Amino acid sequence: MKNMTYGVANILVILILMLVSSISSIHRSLPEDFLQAGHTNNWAVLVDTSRFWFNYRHVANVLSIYRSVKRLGIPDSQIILIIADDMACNPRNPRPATVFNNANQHINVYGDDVEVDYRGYEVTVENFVRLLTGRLPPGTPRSKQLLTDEGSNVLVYLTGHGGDGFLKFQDSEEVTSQELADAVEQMWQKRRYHEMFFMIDTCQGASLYEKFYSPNILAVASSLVGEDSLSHHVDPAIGVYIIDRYTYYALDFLERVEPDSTKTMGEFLSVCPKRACISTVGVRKDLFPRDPHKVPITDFFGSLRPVELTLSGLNVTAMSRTQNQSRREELKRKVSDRSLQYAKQFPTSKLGSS
Amino acid sequence: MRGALYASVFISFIHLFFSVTCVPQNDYFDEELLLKPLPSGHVFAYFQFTTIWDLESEATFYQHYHLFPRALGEIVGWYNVQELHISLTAGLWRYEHWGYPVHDAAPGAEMWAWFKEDTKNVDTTWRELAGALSGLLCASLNSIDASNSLNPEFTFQLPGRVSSRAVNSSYLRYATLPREIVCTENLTPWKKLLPCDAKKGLSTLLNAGHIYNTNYHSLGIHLRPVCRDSNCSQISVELRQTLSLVYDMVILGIGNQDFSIKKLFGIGLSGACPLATMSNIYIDTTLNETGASFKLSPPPPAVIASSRGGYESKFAVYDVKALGIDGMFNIAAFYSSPRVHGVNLPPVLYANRYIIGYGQEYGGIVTKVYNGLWKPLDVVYLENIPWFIPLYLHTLKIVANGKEIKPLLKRYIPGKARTRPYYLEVALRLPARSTTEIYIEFDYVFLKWQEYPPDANHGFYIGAAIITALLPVGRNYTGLPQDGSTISSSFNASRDGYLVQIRTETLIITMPTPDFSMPYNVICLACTVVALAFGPLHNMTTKRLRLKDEGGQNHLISLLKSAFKRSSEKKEKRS
Repeated sequence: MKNMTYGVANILVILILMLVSSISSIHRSLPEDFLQAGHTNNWAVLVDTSRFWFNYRHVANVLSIYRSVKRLGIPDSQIILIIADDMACNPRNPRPATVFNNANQHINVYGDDVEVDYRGYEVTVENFVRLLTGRLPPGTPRSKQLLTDEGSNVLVYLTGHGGDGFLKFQDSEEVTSQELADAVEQMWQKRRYHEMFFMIDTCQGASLYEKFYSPNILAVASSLVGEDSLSHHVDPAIGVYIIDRYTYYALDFLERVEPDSTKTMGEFLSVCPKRACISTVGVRKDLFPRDPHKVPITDFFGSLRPVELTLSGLNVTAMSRTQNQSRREELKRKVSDRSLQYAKQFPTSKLGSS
Repeated sequence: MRGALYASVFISFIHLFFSVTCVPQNDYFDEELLLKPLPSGHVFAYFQFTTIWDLESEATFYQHYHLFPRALGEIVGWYNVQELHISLTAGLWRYEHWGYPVHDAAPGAEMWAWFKEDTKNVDTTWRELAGALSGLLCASLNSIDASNSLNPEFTFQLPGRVSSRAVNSSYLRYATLPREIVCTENLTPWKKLLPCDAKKGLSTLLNAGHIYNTNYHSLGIHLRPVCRDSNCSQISVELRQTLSLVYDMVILGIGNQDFSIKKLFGIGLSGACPLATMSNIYIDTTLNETGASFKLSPPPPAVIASSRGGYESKFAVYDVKALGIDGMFNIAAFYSSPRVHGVNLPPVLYANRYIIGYGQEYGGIVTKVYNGLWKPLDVVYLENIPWFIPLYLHTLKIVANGKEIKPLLKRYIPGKARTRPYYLEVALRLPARSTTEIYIEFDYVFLKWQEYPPDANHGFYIGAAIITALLPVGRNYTGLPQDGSTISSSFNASRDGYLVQIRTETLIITMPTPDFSMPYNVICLACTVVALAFGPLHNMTTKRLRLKDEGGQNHLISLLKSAFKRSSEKKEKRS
């Protein structure tokens, strides 16, 4: 009962505070772009499809993007992080619980606060397509669902080993560009996104977005069809390539973005010129109605949400004291009839021992 | 927790408007850390965060949260769970050298739960519970289902408080995932269940870089109902979040065995969690008397002598709340001599396990159980074998000190492909001072094409076996008594017996694995052969060979041919 009163009091205080803050905010003007953003929430699906230690760089890739979107404000509950193998706690990693983007250990992209949603054997084409289309078995926890709506801007980032028209999953199966395009179309028909930014860092990455036919998609790939995507540099301490070129420069750019910065998607699309990437970065804009140079980068990488202020109050009435009291007493009586004890921890009697 | 902080900030506002005082919630939280130098030169660090919630009645279970984590409470309430135990472990606990841990845990993920008696479909509920927990803890627990779960009859008894009715193991489910990886992604959500998160208190010592460089680490969540008082008329819910770590001081210490909070965890302690009623650090100083002696700095404010099961131990106790820490606090142990190892007295019961057999067809598992006690000891041995490793019960042989012995009890349910694992539970009486070998054979079989994991050549895991016993002596024993909740309750807690549940090694076997690129090779080769054969055959069967009337161009050849013909005819004529 007292709890309830306390709760009511709390709500009233919040209401009063809201009223005060809303009055004060009326005089403040909101930035133009802020109100014009067509989306209401941001989601990110970040996928690494490669297993095995020599694919360390793919895990570093996906964690680089994870680090950036998290830093720019997308909460863990709205990031679906999919990693096919464990690099951070791999016995071959001489620095446990870290994944670096650089041989000089500039940034630990794994960090101390990370939540991986699909990992190991769970990373399959079936699970990925089910995640996108929302056709999941009953009992799937929230953290494994893409709970987007028609107001969601979705960032999809894929990395792994690809070829012309497909992306390999764990060296044992592959998703084709047509399957991917159909899954995205299903998302559009089910109103599961408002706008989508599709990023892929694999060899012949451009072939993966070529088949898209759904609206509002901006796509970028690290290489054109017929080209290989290349890794950036090797770390002699761990003996493998540590990150891929395209993602390395993308992270370099994103590290200089702040939640309130005015950088645009147009700038992001040209982060890796041919002399740096060696491969040609492919961009597909024909499905995207807006000019990327006028789209703030935080539309996809951050989570700035428009807030609607309300001045109407809400009344919460508490349960009457007597009603609540009697119910509790009744329950108490029920419980106290039983005699309780601890169970024997070893079946001594069944074994017939002394 | 955030709600509680929020509430405390606005409490003064509330007083202004309403004359209502906030009653203290009926739950409390304790944080404890036990540091125990082991005779082998390792240091065992054990964190325990205990939340006890005095519920008014079972009907108000998991409503109105205060210190208890709501994320976990909602899952437990929804799936009708009576008791829940989860552990996520990497590395193997070396019983022979390290003694007994506070909580035994098998390598990989291990989970068992008891459901309430009114649960309708236990198998479905169990699968859904595992799925929900996989989301909460970022582990692949969602691969747990009926095909890898057991309900053992003897090994697990309800450790929590129960009503007087007999407990039925049909409401128990147990599963292990020996391949499961444990890393920061599991620690992060585990820390978020704590009332102080990792912001304040002993949990600030949990930094990923200094946890995953250990020889053994095990995260645990243990939830059970307990008695509120000695006459046990009312219940409380106890949640223990545990973390066991074994540091190798040979690697961490540079030439010496000295250890300190800062050296182990990379950071000093900044104070107790303000929401905790108890915040203690215990350092086991028993080895000081027998092995290498060390001095603690600062000297402990209190020392507890504990006698348990006939064995004496000493603990230095630091009450973090009473220390009045300003800045960073550190406790260090300095050894008088560089690297001296204590006398290792192995525990009375420990076990090893290994694979025998030959070829790609015949295999066997041998479990060696060592009983160092002066009298016979009853143990229960539980084997949990995946369905793709068919066991043969008739090959079960138990040999103690070279003599075959008969088990006291035997429970066996054969596995069924894709639906049920092999379950074998055997109760044995180990002779005094004996080594007992439990031997059983199995076959290697082929799986279906799609059932092989992406790294099939890595091998397939067999989960750890469990050996349960009630030890009559408390040597090397660190576990908590059944009626206790905190580490402090294990001091001077002599009981009739001390329950241990030894986990053996997990095994890895190489199954016959097909050459996965074979179909591709076969298709390529077959197509080439078909193409090469088809062309000429098609030509031969569809085209008719016909003599052509030859003219101008072939004049010379035809001339030669006719000349040859003629000459040969002449020769024939001559002969």
